[in-house]
Amino acid sequence: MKCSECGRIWHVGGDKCPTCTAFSEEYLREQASAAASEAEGPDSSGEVTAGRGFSRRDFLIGAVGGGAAASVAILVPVALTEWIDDDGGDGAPPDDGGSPAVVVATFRRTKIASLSDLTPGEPLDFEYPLEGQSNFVVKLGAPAHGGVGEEGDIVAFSYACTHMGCPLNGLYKDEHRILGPCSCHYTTFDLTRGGLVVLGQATENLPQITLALDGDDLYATGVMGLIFGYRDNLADGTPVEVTA
Amino acid sequence: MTKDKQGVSGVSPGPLVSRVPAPPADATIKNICCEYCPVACGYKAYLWPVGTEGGAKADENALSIDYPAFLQSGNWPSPTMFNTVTFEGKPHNVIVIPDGDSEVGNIGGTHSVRGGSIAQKLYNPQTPTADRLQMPLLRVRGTLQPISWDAATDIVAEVSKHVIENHGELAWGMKRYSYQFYENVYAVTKLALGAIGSPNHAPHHAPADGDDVPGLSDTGIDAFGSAYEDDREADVLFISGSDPYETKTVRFTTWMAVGGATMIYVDPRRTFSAAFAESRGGLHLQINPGTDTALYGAIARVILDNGWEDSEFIADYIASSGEVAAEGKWRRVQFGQSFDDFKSYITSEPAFALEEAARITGVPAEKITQTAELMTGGGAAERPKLSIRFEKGLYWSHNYENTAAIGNLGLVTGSIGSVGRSTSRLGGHQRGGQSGASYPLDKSPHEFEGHKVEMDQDRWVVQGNTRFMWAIGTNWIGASACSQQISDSLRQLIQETDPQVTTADTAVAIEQLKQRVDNGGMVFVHQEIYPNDTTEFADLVLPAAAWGEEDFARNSAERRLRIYEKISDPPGEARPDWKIVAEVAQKMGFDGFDWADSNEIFEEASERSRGGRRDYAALVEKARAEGKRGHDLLREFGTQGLQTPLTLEGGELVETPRLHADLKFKTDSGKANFVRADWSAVNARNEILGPEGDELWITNMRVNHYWNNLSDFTRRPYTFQRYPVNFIEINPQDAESKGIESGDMVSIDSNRVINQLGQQVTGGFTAVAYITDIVPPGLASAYFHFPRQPANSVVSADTSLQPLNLRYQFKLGRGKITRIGPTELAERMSFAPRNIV
Ligand code: SF4
Ligand code: FES
Repeated sequence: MKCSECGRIWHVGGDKCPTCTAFSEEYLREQASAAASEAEGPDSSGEVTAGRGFSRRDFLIGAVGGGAAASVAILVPVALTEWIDDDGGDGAPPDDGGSPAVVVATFRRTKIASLSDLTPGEPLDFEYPLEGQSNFVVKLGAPAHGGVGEEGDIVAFSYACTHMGCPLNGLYKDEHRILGPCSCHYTTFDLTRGGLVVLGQATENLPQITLALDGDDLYATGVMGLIFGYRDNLADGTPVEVTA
Repeated sequence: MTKDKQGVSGVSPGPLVSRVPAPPADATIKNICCEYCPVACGYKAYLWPVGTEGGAKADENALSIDYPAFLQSGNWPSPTMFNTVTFEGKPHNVIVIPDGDSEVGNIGGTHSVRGGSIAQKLYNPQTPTADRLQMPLLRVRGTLQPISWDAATDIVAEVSKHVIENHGELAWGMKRYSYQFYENVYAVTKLALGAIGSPNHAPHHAPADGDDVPGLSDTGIDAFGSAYEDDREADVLFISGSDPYETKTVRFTTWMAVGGATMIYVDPRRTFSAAFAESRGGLHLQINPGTDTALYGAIARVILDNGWEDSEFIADYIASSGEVAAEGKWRRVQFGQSFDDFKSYITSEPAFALEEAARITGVPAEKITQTAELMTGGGAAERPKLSIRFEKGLYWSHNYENTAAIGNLGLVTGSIGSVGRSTSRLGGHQRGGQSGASYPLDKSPHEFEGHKVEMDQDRWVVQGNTRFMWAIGTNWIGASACSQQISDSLRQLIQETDPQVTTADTAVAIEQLKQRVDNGGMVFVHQEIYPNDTTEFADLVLPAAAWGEEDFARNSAERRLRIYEKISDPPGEARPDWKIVAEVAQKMGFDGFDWADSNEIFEEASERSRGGRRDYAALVEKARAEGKRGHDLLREFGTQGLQTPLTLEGGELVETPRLHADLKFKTDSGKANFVRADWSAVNARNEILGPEGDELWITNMRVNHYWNNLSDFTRRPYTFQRYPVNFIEINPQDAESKGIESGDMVSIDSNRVINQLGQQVTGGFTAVAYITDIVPPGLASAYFHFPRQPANSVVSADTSLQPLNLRYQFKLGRGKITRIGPTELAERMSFAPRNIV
């Protein structure tokens, strides 16, 4: 976060600068964009996705055994991530118990595939949000964290191993719904669990591309996690062309 | 539309961070190594004041990379490599990243998930590290309350003096890490073993001091003689009782897997390493627990029967029976064997005959024969370069016999002292055990056949003989076999023996504690970075400063000595162990503890390193000659460091890549000898310890995501999401018969645990079931050192079963598994297979 007043940068704590208590630039930007999308409503803004299973609980790490490890915010992403109540009006299944959906405001919604082109168990490749950022979308056949579609089983992830960047293309194992082991140091990721490392050396879950489904059109709407090689998913590259 | 801002603060840092700043070009760069496994990968820390950041071009950031970073560039800071700390009193951003320029160990900046996430170890009050111990605490009326350092060290010094004067040194105990940095280990042992001179002293993983691999040592082979290069250059790698991918990761990924050696992997569990070995033309010998001695005896028998032994090596470098008899060490005289003695034992023991060994070990006869052939070349003109590796799966079973048996394999195949040919441990932790005094063996109350052996400290406590105990850097309870007996004894001696401390008035508190000691109770001091299960029993808690909070030095498993620089201020009033101990020692009236900084200890300790595998006296000599401090000269060698022992030749430091290159052994004669690995002793113990009826073997393991007692890892959300509670691997067949599914909570119980006094007691722990074919039917395996869920509670603790060398047989627990019920972990944890290659 960067302070809108004094320019200090911080990565822990809330929206206010630890030095001068002014709001962060990011927070102000977020407020502005939230106000704009509220004015337009979710359907017209096209920024809403209803990812199945992105409930708050999924990200409360260590709540069972962790004691002190539970629910402490450590780093607040700069790409704006915000939780809103979802009315399920975008073609995704209605959410059980009003679990919050994700809006990633600074990412641009881009069509990546047609539902009818997806064969269960066979990844389709696409680039997003920048050119050269290689990803795939796959219908797993089992409900997954962040999955969309009738069964909540359509997910998309980066192909770049978050250990040291080796490409994971061609390593999807449909039987176990895992990606890997990576040919470099054998990291394997669980695609039903938000790209969690099953076994291996990556220091970050495999970045998951958030999806939205509108009729037969499948859209990428954002990225959860930092893509290998980048300091910011949206910096140091050319954005892919947005297709509606 | 309702905004739910709370959702953001519930987000874990791992999955959702999408930005990590680049360090500016003028960031401060420090040398440090990973704190965890013995590979000891080299790391760099980039520190810069909060409020600035570097740019995307190589000349705009200290990493010298153009963003986006190339794959395999080894210089990409992931979100878990970033943190914010206080350094030199000011807030700093910090990136702790594997050294992308490294040409040794973790070449090119490779790393495991443990080390790769180590930036999250650093104290940051906005993270789960917020509960670091920061002030000395005294238990007053049952509650730990902050006091001053002066009061705390007064209490330790006064109660210690009282105990030693009135109850003798044996009543004064210390339980401590053996892996910490030279400076700390030297200081604490200088006090405990030297100044006080108490044999009531044990490392974190054993009830007694002493050698972990005595059978190997008795052959004359050094346990850490090899170099990582040998793993890569070997034609055949024989790996026993260690899962190198999950526990020595970079040694596996960068050295073993890259060299293309045929791997023979011995483990009751079919791990990723096992599957990897088989997929690359090697073998997995899926051995029954506790039967290594029979397997290695059988392999030796096949070798001898076929004449595949290395006769030249044996003729030149194995001692005769006369030479063995003339050795000064009683164990070597008693158990050492010439080649002829070895051959006659191996070929006459019925358990080593092929079919019988196959029945005992569960390893098919053809695989045993194939192993012997692979290890020796089966009579081919050129012997393959064989390296033999092992660790706790071997020596936490039948310690003496198994370590002797594997050493014998090293000798019979001549696998020693040259590139690719070596026999050594893989190591459990890094090598910092430079003690400040020798163990006072003559004072030990424990003996074997008239020979003094190191004192069983846990037994001594359970017997109520210890009146003062100081545990440093260990969760003693979880780390002991029959854990519940240790906690029962601590409760009784500390909390249920009067008086309890009723005021923080130091003089009164000291009197009350002395009275408890005189009433037959115990006073317990726990020195740690975080509270753990053992802290619940502490009268006094001393907050320690550790990795990254002081300049320290330590060796890797290939004896590579490096500096670990300070990269963060310690939290609150936490102090490095050496400083705490020095203050207590001075208050007790001992000389030689007035060090000004850790470097002074580093230099002093070099004297005691002389002649050993970590001899760095030459470095200190050279530093003095150049008017430098020892730490500063070491710093000049960066993350590459120097391989000890070091010598000075013409003013230059000369390293030792591998030991035994001259084929001289650590015996009086300089020759090696075989060691009797007695199957009948092992077999008798297996009958006492083995499961019966619907009991299973309950073994324990380490996992890739974690290191040791999890003091860091429960506080690291990214890694802790993987296994938020202890888990137990159960074979589908065993699970089905009990109606257990992955994600169910189960209870593992035994009413046949043998305690430290040889009595049968009960024990148990819970774990979440992970159904997998990693374990065979009849065997279940849990994480070995999970807080609050101690797998060691079903492990017997009677060291009289192994009276030669008092070690726990952690790998040989037993118990019954009962389903408790379903948990939400079934949805949250991943139960995908962990052994897919
Ligand atoms: S392999 Fe070992 S030393 Fe290297 S980063 Fe991992 S835990 Fe640390
Ligand atoms: S790059 Fe994928 S495991 Fe190392």
